[in-house]
Amino acid sequence: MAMQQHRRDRRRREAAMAPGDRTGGESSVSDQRVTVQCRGLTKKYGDHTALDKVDLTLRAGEFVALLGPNGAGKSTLIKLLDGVIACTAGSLRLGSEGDAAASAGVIHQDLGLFDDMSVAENLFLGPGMSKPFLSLSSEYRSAEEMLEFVGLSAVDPRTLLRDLSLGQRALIATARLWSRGAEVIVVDEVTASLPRAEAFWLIEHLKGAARKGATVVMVTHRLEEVVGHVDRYVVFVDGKVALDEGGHVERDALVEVMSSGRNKALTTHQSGGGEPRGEVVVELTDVSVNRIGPLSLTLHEGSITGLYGSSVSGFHDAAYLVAGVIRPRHGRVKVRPGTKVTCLPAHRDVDGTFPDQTVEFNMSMGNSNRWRRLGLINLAKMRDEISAAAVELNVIPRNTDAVITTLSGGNQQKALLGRVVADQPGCVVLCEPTRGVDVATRREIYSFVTKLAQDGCAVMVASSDMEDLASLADRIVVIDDDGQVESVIDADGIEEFCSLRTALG
Amino acid sequence: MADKVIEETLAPFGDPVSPDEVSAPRRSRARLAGVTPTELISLFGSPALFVLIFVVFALWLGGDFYNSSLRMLEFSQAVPAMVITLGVVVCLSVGQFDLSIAYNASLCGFVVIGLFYRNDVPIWAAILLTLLLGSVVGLVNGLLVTKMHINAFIATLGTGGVLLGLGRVYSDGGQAITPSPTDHPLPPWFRDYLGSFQYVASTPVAVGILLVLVAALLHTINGRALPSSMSRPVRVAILAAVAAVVLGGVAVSGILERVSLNVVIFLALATGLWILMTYTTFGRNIYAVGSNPRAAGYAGISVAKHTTMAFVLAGLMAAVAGIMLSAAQGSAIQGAADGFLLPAYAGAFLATVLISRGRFHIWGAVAGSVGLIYVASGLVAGGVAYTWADVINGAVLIGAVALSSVVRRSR
Repeated sequence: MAMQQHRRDRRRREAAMAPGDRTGGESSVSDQRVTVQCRGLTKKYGDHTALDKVDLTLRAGEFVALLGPNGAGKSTLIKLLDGVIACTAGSLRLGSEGDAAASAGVIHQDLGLFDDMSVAENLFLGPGMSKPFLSLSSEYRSAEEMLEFVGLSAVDPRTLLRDLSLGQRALIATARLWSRGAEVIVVDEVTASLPRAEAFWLIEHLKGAARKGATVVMVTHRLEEVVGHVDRYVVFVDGKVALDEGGHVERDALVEVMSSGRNKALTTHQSGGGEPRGEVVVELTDVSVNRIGPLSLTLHEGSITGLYGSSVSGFHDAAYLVAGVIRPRHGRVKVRPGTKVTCLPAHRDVDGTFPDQTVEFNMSMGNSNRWRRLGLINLAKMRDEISAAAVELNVIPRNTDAVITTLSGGNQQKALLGRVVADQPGCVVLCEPTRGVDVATRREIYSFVTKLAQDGCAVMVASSDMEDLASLADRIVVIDDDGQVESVIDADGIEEFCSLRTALG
Repeated sequence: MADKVIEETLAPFGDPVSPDEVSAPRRSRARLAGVTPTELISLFGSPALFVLIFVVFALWLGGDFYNSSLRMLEFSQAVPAMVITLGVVVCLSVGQFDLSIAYNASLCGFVVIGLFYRNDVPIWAAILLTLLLGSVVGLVNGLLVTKMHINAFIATLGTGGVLLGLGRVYSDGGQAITPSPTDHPLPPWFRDYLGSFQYVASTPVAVGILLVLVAALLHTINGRALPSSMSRPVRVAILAAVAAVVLGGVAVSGILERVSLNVVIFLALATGLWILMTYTTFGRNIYAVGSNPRAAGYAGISVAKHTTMAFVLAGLMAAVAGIMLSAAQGSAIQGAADGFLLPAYAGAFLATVLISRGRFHIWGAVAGSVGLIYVASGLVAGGVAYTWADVINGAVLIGAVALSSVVRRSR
């Protein structure tokens, strides 16, 4: 039954396309069947307008880049397409008028596939996709058809998914959506976790899928991936379509559109700068680990070093090396004797909190020797000091007996910050300190970290959030995708660097 | 299970709140001394269930059940099993399972007498060697889990099998060793101090351990069971009431004159472990590793070291249990402690619903183990065939844990 459904969809799609168009879509896209039609599409979250009267039409066979800085409305549009949320005003139509409605599917970064199952099993898993008794041979045949659609005819449907590269897996996810009748396929940030070469390979294959009749929408933060590869560029800024052009658009033109109206959002701080640096606290000499290195770096008393890289670069590992959480494969990490180095991990839920434990437990862990006398911990004293620290950090609720997971993300983060500084460390490594945190908490964290550095602590802020770096860092070390230092931005260049990167999303 | 327990217990003051809500108590929910009724039920539901059972026994059986020398006899007999429970608690606290612990105890129990009888090792030296053996077994378990990255279930199932086999080999296929007054007599202190129910501790010792226990009990209730939102006078009143009930109960029952020395040793051991787990950096780090090993690593706590040490402690407890069991029996019997595995885990899991808010806790496990034994013996006293004891144990465990989670969910 599923097979028939699949074929029926395919036939319908083929019929909808102009005859003879299957290979030469580029020149005659405007004749193609409409797959997405937005008219005055508006989405509000309370007072905040995420999408503001958007008009947009996408057609079959188009390969579209959806661009824009964070918070510009891209993900809202994707959620609307996916049917996860409903719009506030206007209309969103999948498919053209008078025709059967098309459907849309979104491929997220985690792909939603099963690594331990075969390609064919992955393609046919799910409601309505297979009969109670499977016919393996017919399943393999249809699988091969689907693989051909995404240009993977060389892949055996029996291969386990884990044996494919990440790019190939993304294509399997694409084929899966297409076989379920999705005519609009949104590829959301999937390339962010791919090495550059593989990202380009994937993009070429996605383009091939578009040529065969799908509407492929690429969402990415890396402009170089899409410039010159897609048919059309749609740039969102502040919930509006700021640019919608087919053909060729220069990278600089895209950057300019994306930067419009964004610089004012950045707050830069004026401390540090030309002041003489304090004593060296941590020194890395030619260290390497995982993708990082060789890397040399010094952290000084009272200064805040920013660390930036793409999600592929694994730049957090450099921060964890400084913190001593991971050991270098090569090279040396030298810490000033008697200095305690503590670390706020990048992934709060997985690496940060002790989920079933109280705020007090979470804040004291790793510091309990501070309250030790004759081998035993003075629990009462610890309790008082932790409570005082929680008040200072404005952790809500005030009750440090509350279980940490019942707190909001921002308050969990503040509690963890309290853990990191509780034992007066000489060096603090903060990874993504404001991830998943609201604006007010963000300000609190910034002023707390600034004060920490003023009190003489050597601070490293490893963040992919430009606002963190613009607000805190005295200098920024940029790690490229090969794990090397790409550049070191000094205090004067920070503002420019951050606005540029913010514009790129 | 532990997550749920705590999370839902504390939700009333743990929900994300805006600053203006901090001081204002949540509306639409009646509060008693700062605590909601459901919170009280979920905190005290399982202990109350046990109290209820014992009240029913009192009405039903009266003196047949409330016979202090019979109950102390059972306590004394259960000491080896409860020592294993202590080891299980440490292991569960670090987030690992040790399925070999009962086999380790059986082997250690056989070896301590075997060394004395066959190899003419003085008994004190045999005890030390056995403690070392148990710890080494624990160390092996720990290294298998931390260095070889074998799942603890599989690793300890494997070592458990090996230990079971070694016990058979060492005992020549399960032959008991029975020292007699004419053939390698065991020194009297071995049996008296470590195993005998009849050897009663002197009054000062008994009073001493009683006071330590009451202090520990009050401290634990204060820190774990009573929410800190409860006002101070209410707290003090509750603690005073608990102390009065306990001390009064002890005085009336006259069990102070019937506390055998092996019970005192067990209670001292439990106190020591409780202090280790609660008041030292080591113990707190164990709980941290058990809660989230990755986060523990990022907080600068060595996961491998603490996991290994927890296994070593479990092994050490297994050796103590084996030695005390052999002392009680006065002979070496192969596989004597094998059956203690399930009761030990039952007691440890009861700890999460008794007095410890979802955490594996030493006193909770002791209370849970004793409770299980007494519920079964009460039913036996009431006429249920003793062969049903294990069925009853299992049912009580499930009932107590289910009660706590059902109440928490029904909010």
